[in-house]
Amino acid sequence: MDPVKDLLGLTADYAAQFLGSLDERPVGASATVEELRAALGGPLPQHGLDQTQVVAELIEAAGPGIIAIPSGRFFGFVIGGALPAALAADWLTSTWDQNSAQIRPTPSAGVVEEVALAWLRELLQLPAGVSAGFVTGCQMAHVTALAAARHRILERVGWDLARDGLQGAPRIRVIVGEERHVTVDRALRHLGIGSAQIQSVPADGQGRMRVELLRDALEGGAGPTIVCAQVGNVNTGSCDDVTTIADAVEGTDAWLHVDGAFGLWAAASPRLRHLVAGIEHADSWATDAHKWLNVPYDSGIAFCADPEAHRAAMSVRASYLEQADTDAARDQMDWVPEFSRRARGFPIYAAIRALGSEGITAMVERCCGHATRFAELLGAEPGVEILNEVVVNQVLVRFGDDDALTEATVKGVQEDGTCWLSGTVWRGKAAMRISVSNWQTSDEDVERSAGAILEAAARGVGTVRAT
Amino acid sequence: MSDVHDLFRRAADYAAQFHDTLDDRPVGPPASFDDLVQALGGPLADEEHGDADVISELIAAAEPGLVGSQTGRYFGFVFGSAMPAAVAADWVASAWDQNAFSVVTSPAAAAAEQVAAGWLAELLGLPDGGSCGFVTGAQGANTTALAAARQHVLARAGWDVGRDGLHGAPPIRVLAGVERHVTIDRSLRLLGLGTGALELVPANGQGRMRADALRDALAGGTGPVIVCAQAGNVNTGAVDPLNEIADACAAAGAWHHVDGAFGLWASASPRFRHLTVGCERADSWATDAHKWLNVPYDCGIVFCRHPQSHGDAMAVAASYLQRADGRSPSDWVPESSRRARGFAVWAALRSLGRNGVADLVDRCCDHARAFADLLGAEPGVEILNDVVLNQVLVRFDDDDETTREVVRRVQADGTCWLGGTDWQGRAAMRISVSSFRTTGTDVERSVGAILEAAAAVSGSLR
Repeated sequence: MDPVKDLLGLTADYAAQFLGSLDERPVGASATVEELRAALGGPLPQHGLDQTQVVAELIEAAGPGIIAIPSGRFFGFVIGGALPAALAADWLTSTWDQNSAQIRPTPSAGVVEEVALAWLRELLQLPAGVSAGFVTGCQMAHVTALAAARHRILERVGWDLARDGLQGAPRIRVIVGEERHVTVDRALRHLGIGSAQIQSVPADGQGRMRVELLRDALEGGAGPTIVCAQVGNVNTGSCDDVTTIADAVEGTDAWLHVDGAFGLWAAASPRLRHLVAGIEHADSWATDAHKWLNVPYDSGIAFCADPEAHRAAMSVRASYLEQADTDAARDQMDWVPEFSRRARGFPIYAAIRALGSEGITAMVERCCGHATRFAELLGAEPGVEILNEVVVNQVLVRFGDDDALTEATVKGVQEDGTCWLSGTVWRGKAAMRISVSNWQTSDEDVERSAGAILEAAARGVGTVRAT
Repeated sequence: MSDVHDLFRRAADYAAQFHDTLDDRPVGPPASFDDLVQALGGPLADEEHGDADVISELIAAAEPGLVGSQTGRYFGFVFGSAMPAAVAADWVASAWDQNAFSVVTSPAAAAAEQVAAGWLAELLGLPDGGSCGFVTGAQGANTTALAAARQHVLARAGWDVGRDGLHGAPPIRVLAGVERHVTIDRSLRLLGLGTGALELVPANGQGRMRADALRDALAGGTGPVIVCAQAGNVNTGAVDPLNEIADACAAAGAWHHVDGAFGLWASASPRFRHLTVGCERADSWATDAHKWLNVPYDCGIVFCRHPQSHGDAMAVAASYLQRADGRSPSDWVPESSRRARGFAVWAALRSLGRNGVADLVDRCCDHARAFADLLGAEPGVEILNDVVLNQVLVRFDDDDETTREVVRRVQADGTCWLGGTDWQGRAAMRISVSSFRTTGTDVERSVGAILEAAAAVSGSLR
């Protein structure tokens, strides 16, 4: 037997068995980090080990600490699973081991990104001519898009950022909604823009930026400005009114960025598209493929309506790279902060090819339908309150209008293992947070999970009373 | 067998067959760019398409445009291959689809990274008690390390960069060797420092930063200062005099960063460790796992002596110190949600062991030496660098055009793949040996192909 064939065959068998067992196994981990460290750790081995045994040991040692993220009953954060075709394409990506920095040395990795870019642009209804960078996730998509923004708005005031840096530059201000995601702040810090430069505009009860206050903010200051809107609040799923925000920004020199980690995918559904109306007026967009498109970790995309600024903010030249003529070909590294990197285009390509636009629409709508069903099933129970308008795939649930009971219920659900979800604090109140973003979540998964949640809440009533 | 199992089995069979045929495949991609666009492109389809068909089509369409970086005869850039154990672990990582953000999103991913970080620090001779992050590559590692440096040197000058940003901050001087890698410039630019902050320190003929010139440069200015040293020049493989640089940085109170994308791995070999002596004295280090450790793309690693500054620069809301649950993988990287990169690194280290890593490094360096000996023995062929590590620069007939034409012909021939470069104003062929698969036979076959290409264009070799 060929040892490599043996190894990869066993790995494939294990992967199929793991995914096949998800319906039965608890969704949470069964080992603590300390136990996992002990199982995986020990001194640096002096001698090598047979490759099949290495993988068997990894599976045995790490398996108990694996959270069943690919399960249809994983509702934590906004994580998404992995479509089988995308997973298989990801395996090919590792097998082929192409370094997707430049199109000439690894042409297939480069071309597949071009194709994926065209398809994604159409799916997400973005303007023709946008550029895109394939990054690790929405965090780096923000870094990329906001670096392009920083370049452009400083160039407009005659500042050469690449050469002179930010220290002596005109002060940049960034206007964000009060309920923006923390990755925006983190991206800005990375880029050398401090939290004191971030001006936060109050939001409404659903977390949407109040646009009339954005207008006041824009008028109340001057200098190079970036406005960050959001489609898909991480708690409620609500989307900022981008049409009105774009109106407010129009006529100023501000750059409009849209954080659409998962919410941007509403554009792929004719039924939900109205939620993200106006996004086509933005200058840049950040989203994830490893969330709602259900490709394996990690994969995010930065889109930019200003390819010149995008490329100027990212690209680099070196003699040993023998780079193509700048305009002749799209070198992947010109659009991302990375240099050498994984060929992230292959799994995206496979996911879109497998689902087609109709399949993607159906997946997005199915997840939103499940979220609505959760809200109906849970909200019908006395003492259970749904805190948000369920517009996409997010549901916030509160039990007995009580923080302790709500937290106890979340903990009880995590321990029970039927499904996994986590807690949050929404507008000062503890809440359970349900996010549906997995391709294989079924009606039955929702029913089973709602049952487990209500049972945990009933147990929680006892616990909270006892303490 | 379920459909999914069948799909995975097919993928595994294909991958094994791909692996088995590497020796016979041309190393360069045979397909033209237009053919690939034709094969992969087309309009966005409306309907769903069977998983197995998607994968077969992807293989058929993309395969002609793959480069043989997985073969033992790919010597371009510094790519590395991927060891089967690391590939299989990477497959498992994709199947598990863990989000390595925190111990909550994946305890197993967090534990694997922590164990792998400890092993790596020991292997590379780095100090205990530092912090370590798993990023996409040395570019991301340089950016992360320099963000920690930015945080640290400005905090010492009384400036809170997280709160106030760089606008109005004290200027930061960044000193780097004239032959540093471009990723340094790119990281500085991303961090908002501007390449104007960069003061270039002269290098010697091998690309090593001159420590005397660094001392002069450090003495010639004041204020917060970062020094970027290099272990492994991308052309020559030369390592800066790290001990002397550490002395100079200590005297000046400078942050000392080491870019060791591949060169840091010399520390893992008793035979080559002398090259990186002093590197353990630095404040931060950047390296790649997808190069010399031969794990699949992408994986780089950043190490830092100062967890506080590292965490303050990276962690969400800088709250990592308050956490009761210990290390959170996202505290040390620019990413939030991300792939569980630790599994493949763990598997590579477990599979090789300390001896296996040392042997991998030694073998690649010996192959580079053999290239230099075999090619350098021919009339009209000149080896431009001291072959201290895994890099060889070759020049033909002391002529730029001849050298470039030889490179083009070798690429077209397909026996092996390598690139060209300009080394201190002269065109050169660039050979980098960084695959676990490269054998003595691969080197001999490739030398034969190179000399044949040279004979076809070079007067003295004809």
